[in-house]
Amino acid sequence: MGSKTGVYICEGCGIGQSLDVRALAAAAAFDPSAVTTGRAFCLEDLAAIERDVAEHQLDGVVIAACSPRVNRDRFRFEREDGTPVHVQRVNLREQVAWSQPAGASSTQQMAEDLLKMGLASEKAAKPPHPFTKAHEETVLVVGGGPAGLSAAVSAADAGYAVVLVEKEQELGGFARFLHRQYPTMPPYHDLEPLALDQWIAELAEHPRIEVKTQARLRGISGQPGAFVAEIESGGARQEVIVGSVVMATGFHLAGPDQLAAYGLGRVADVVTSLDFERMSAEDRIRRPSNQEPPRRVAIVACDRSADRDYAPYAGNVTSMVSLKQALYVRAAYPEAQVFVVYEDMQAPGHHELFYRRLQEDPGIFFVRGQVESVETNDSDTVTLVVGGTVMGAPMTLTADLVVLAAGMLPDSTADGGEPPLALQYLQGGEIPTRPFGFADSHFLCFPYETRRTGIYTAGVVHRALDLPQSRRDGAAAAAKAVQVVEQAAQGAAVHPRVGDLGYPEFFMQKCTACGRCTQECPFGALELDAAHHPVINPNRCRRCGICMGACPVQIISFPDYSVHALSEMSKQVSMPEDDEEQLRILVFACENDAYPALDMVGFHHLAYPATMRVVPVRCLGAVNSITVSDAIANGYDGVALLGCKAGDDYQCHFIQGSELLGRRMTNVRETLDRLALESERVQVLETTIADAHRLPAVLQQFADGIAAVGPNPMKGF
Amino acid sequence: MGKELTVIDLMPDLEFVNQLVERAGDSFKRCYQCGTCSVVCPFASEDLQLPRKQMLMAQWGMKSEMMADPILWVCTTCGNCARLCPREVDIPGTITAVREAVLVESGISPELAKAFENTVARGNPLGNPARRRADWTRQAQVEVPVMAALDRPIDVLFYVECYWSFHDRGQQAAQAMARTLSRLGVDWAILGTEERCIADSQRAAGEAGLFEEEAAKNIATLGQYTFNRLVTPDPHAFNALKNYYPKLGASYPVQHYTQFLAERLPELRLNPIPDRLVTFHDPCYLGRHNGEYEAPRRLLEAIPGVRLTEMAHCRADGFCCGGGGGGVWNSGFVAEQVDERLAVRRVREAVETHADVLAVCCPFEVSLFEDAVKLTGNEGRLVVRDIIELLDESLAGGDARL
Repeated sequence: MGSKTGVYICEGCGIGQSLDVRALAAAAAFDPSAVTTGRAFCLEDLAAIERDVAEHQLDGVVIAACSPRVNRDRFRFEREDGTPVHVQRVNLREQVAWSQPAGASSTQQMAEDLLKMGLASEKAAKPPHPFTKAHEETVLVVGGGPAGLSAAVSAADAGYAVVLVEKEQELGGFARFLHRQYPTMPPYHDLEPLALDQWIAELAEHPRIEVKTQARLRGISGQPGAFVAEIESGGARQEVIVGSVVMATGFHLAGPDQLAAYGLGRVADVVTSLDFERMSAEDRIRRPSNQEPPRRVAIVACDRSADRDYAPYAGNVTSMVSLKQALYVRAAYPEAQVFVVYEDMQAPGHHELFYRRLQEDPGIFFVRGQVESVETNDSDTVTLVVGGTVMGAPMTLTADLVVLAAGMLPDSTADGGEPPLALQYLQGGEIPTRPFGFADSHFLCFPYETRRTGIYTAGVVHRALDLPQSRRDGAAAAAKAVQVVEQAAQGAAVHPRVGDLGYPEFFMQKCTACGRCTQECPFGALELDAAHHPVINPNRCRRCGICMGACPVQIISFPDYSVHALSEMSKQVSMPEDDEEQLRILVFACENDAYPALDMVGFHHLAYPATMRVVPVRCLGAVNSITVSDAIANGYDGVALLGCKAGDDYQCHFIQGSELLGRRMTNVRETLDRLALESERVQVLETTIADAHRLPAVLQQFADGIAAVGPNPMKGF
Repeated sequence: MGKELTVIDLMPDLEFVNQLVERAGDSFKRCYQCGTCSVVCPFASEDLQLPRKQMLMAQWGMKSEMMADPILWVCTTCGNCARLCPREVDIPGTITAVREAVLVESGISPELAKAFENTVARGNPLGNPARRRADWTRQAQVEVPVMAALDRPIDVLFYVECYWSFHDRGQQAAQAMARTLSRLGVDWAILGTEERCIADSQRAAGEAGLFEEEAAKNIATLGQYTFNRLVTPDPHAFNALKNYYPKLGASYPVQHYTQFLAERLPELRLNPIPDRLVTFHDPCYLGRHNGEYEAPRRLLEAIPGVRLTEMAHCRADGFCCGGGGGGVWNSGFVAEQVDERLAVRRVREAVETHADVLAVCCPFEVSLFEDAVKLTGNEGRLVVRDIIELLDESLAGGDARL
C-alpha cells in the first residue's frame, strides 16, 4: 500500500523447520530493515507489531505466517490517529509448510513466490473510503401476518423504529382465517387457540411501531440505510426513508388451477382447507350443496406426485392441517366419520404424538393412497376413487363433504399484478426467487437473505412454514434487518464479507457504457445514469467483485483489490525456463469454499502439486478473462479456477459468480484454441469446503494433464 | 395372486372395530402403513402384503373383506413383525382377535376344524384316544411316576403336552426326557391320562372359547395336586401357562424344559458324542414371545462333541417353522395360499450352514422339519433332533441302554 511496510515472517507451527526463513527474507528483495525474522509471530507478538506500527508509522503490514482465515480479527492494527493499517497475510503454514516436503528447493521456491505475491498485493492496495452517508435505521415490514407481526415487534424490541405496511384493513394475514392451531406444546394432544389478538396487541402497545393498513408499496429505491419507500394508503402517497426491509408478504392457497383433479370448483361439496377453517370458526360446518351437517367427511392431503409439481414442499404443513381439521369435524359432530386420504403423512418431531392421538380416535380413518377421481354420485354425495392402497384394488370412498388441504403458494412475485415490493431497480421490480417462488438466496449459507441486500424474507414467502415457524422466521429476519442498518451506517458490507469497507470504483473515462456490470451484479447494486454509465449503490454491494470480473475494459476495481493487483501478483512468480519438468500453474481459489478446502489439505498434511501457486479471489466471478489470458501470456503452463458449484443448485456464495466465470472461461478457451494454444490449459474445477481429502487428487490430475500437454509455448516471450 | 379389479367400498363397520379393540386393544389403530412388518413377514411378497393389509382392514372395520380373506389364516403369529413395528402394534394379537371375531361366520378349513374338534372331544388336536396319552412311558426305560398314583406333593410336574404324548418322534423325545429327569434324581411326575391339551395354538388360531374351556378343565385338574413347578417341552403351552393362565386366575411357576435343565447343567454328567456341527432353530414362542434365547444354546454348547453354528436368521430374528398359530394343522390350506412351506425355507437355511444336525426344542418342529428335509432332498445330509435327544445320547455315553 503505502511507502512504509512492515514484513513479519513467522517461524512457528513448523514453518521454521520447513523453510530457510532467512533466505526467504533475503530473496524477497525488499528493504531488509523492515523485515523481522527469527521469531514466531503469533498472538503473543501482537504487541511487537503494534509497537512497530506506532514507531515507524507503518501504513501496512505483511504477515507471512498461517492462513489468512486464522485469527483474522486479531491481526488488526491501527495508527494512533485511528487509521487502519492494511494487513496482508501470506499463507506459509497451511499452503507451504504443512502441505509441501520440508526443506525441498521447490518448497522454498513456493514460499518465496507467495511472499512476493503478498508484497505485490500489499503494494497495490489503497485505503478504502467507506460510504457513510446512509444511516436511516427504521425497519420497513411488508405484511402484517404472523411473520410480519413477529418481525415488527422483534425489531422494535431491539430499539428500532418500525413501519408496518399491511394491504388489508386488518392485521393478521392468513392467521385471521384460522380457527385453531395444532398443538405446539406438550402433551401435543389438543388444538390450541391462536394468539393473534395478543400478537396484534403487542404491536399496538409499541411506541416505535407505526402501522399502515390498507396500504401498498408503490416503489422501493435506494439502498440499505437509505431506502426510499413509496407507500400508498387511503388514496395518498407518502415517501418514507427506511434502513432495511422485511418482506413477509405471505401466501395464497392452491386453487382450482392446481386442484381441478380433486373436483374443486366442479363438485359443490368439495372445499379447500381455507373454506373449512372459516366454516369451523363460524361453527357452521355444512355441506355447501344443501347446508346439511356432514356425516362422512374426506380430508385429502393433496400430496400426490402431481401435486408435488407445484408444491413439493407443502407436505409438512398440509399433513398437519389435515390432522387438525379432522378434529374440527369430530368436535362439531361426534357421530361423524372422517377419512384422511394421504400419500405421505409428515408429522415432524413431537407432532407425531398428535398424529397418534388422531389415529386412536374411533371416528377417524386414515387412507394411504392417491385420489384418482372425485365425482358427485347418484345419492348426491361425493365418491372418491382411491388407488394405490395396500388393498391392491381401487377403493371407493363416499363422503358428503370433501376438504382439500391445498398447498401454500408464496406471494413473492407480481403474479399478473404489481410486484409486492415494487422495486425501482434496474434489474426489475421483482425480488429474484428460487424454484417454486420462494424469495430466498441460499437456505444453508444465507438464510433470510434475498438477492437484494437489505431486504430479508420471513414466513411462507421465504419457505413453507407453519405458524410457530413463521413467528420464529419473522424474529430472525428482523435480526438481519437490524444488522444491515448498523453495517450500512458504517459503510460496511454484510454477509459474507462482513465489515468490508471498500466498494467498487469505476474509472469512468474509459467506460464503454456496455452495461455488462449492471446486468451481471447478482444483487442489483448498479444502476445506470443518463449517459448509460454505471452508478453504484455501495450498501447494496456485497463486495464479491463480479462486476470487476465482468468489465471488458477492466475499469472496475476495489481500493484493495483489482485486476491490476491480481495481475501484479501473478507476475511475481518465478518462471523456470528451459526446464520442462518445472511447470507453473496458477490457481485462482475462491475464498469462500475452495481456499478453506486448500487450508484443510494443509491441516491434514496432505500434499498438492508443488508447481501450483494459489491466488485467493473473492468469488470466481471476480476473475476477469484478461487476468486468465494474461497469465497464459506471461508463461503459466496452466490456470485452474477452483470454486463453488454453479447451476440451479448452486453453492456460489454470490449466487451467479461460478456460472458467469464458466461462461467467461468458455470464451477464453475459444481464444486459446484460435491461438493454437491448448484450451485444456484453463479449467474450472468445482469443489466444496468438505472436499479436502479429494482435492489433492483433483489438483494432481489437473497438473498431470498440463504436464501431458507440455510447457506453454508462450513462455519466455 | 394377481391384483383384483373389484372395487372395495370403504364403509367402516364400527361394531367390528370395537370387537377387535375389546379383544386385542387399540394398538392396531396406530398402524401407519410403513410396511416394516411386511418386510420381515415370512409369507409376505409384493402381492401378499401380510400383515400390513390385515392391520389396515382391521382399522377400517372391513369385516366382510376379512371374512373372505384366506390370508388371514396363513399367519403363524410368529411375531417378528411386532418386534420391529415402530408403532408397537400387537400384530399377532390383532390377527388372533380378527380370527376370533370372524371364525364362526366365515368358517375355517376342514383340517383346522378337525384339530379343534379333536381337542374338544379327545383333549388333543391329533385325535388320538385320551386313554392312550401315557402309552409312551412304556418304552421310557425308566419308571414314569403319575400324579394320581403318587398321591403326594412333588417337585416337578412335567406337562408332556400332545405331540410328545402321541407323535412317534415326540414320544422318543419324551422318553429321553424321562430318562434325563430320572438320571438327575428329580422328584417328578406326569398327569398321565388326566392331562389335556393346553390349546395355546388353538387360541392363536382364533378359538379363544375352546382355549378357555380347556383351561378351565386343566386348572381344575392341576388344582388337585401340589407341586413346586410345571415344566413343559412345548413353548406354546409354556406361553399360555406363563402369560394367559394368570389372567384366568391360575398362576404356576412354569419353565420350558431347556430352562429347567440349563439350571442343572453342573449336575448333568455329559459324555462326548461323535463330533457334530449343530445349528439351532429358535422356537417363536420360546424366543420372541418369551425372550428365552440362551437356555437351549447353553445346553447344546455343554455337550462335548457339539459345535454350534447359527443360521442367517436366529434369535430375535429367527425364522418361523410354520407350525404356530394353528399352522401345524392347516398345512394343506396354507400350501394353497403360499409358494413355499416355511419349514422348507428353514431347512434350506440350515443346510447352508453345513450343519449335520438341526436342533429343535418345540414339539411341532421335529415332524415339520423332517418332512422338509425329505422334500428338499437333504436326507443323509441333515438330521433333525430335539435337544433332549442329543442330551440323552450324551448322558448315556457308552451306556446308551442304561
